[in-house]
Amino acid sequence: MRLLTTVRRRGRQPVLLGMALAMVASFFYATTHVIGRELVTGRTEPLIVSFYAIVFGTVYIALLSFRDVPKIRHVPRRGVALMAMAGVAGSIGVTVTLVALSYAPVATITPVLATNSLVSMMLAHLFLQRLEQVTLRLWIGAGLVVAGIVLISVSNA
Amino acid sequence: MSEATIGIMLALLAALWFGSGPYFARLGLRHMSTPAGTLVAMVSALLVVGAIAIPIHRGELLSLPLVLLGWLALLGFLNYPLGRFINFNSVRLAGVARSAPVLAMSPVWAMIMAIIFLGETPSLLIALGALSVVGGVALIVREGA
Repeated sequence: MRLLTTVRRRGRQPVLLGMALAMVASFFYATTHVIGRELVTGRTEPLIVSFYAIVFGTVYIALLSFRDVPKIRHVPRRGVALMAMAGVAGSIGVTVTLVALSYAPVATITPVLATNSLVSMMLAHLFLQRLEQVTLRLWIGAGLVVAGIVLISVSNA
Repeated sequence: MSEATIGIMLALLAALWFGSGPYFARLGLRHMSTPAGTLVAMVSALLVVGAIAIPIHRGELLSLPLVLLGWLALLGFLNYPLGRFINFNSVRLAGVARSAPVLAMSPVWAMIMAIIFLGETPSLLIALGALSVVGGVALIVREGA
């Protein structure tokens, strides 16, 4: 866990590490879609699943980050507001996904959810030009990923 | 309107919200560490979802079976410390444009697990889909390098 919090930018290594971490995160998100579908079809309501997942998630994250809590006082309000918005956006996404899974199976929902990467890239292209460059190669790469996921999900439907 | 159509429309809405999260995280993590930023994100999410869930499901929230609570604890562990925390780290290191498409490859993991653990044989369509995903990720990684 220390590696994840103390890696500094040195050339391309952090970028490659970041993409490797994205692959790892996508694996865990895949398992949550399957478990979430199982829970919201006949066991309980999507909002209850989302609420308790966030409760437990907050406890786990608090245990991971209690040493960093005093530092939050010195963070600009803008930074806190932006992370708050990131949290709210992600959790509304999780809640709406669970509701979607109560209507349709994972194989139907997943390819549509995969388009969120295109939304992220569009926002980065429009508003993060000072921080990131969204090149044509990245757009083509993202398009291939989404097309591949659609193919996989259509064949599983 | 069929249930599948409703599910797809909801998934589109979810994609819009999911897509904007990393953008805010990218900007927010310039000011604080990933653990602190993730905690701020989680507390905010808890306040918002709690404000909606508690009035609607007050009685049910306190009467869930222990087995179900266990599954919810597992879901919270997979989605947040393992999913979101690692996701925020990937955004901080690689940026939104590179991490977001790679993050979307979760169906590929499901396919791999089905092949290894369930002995499933992928069809031509699945193989083509997997090739497309791998090709797309390779392009993105090459761009990052």
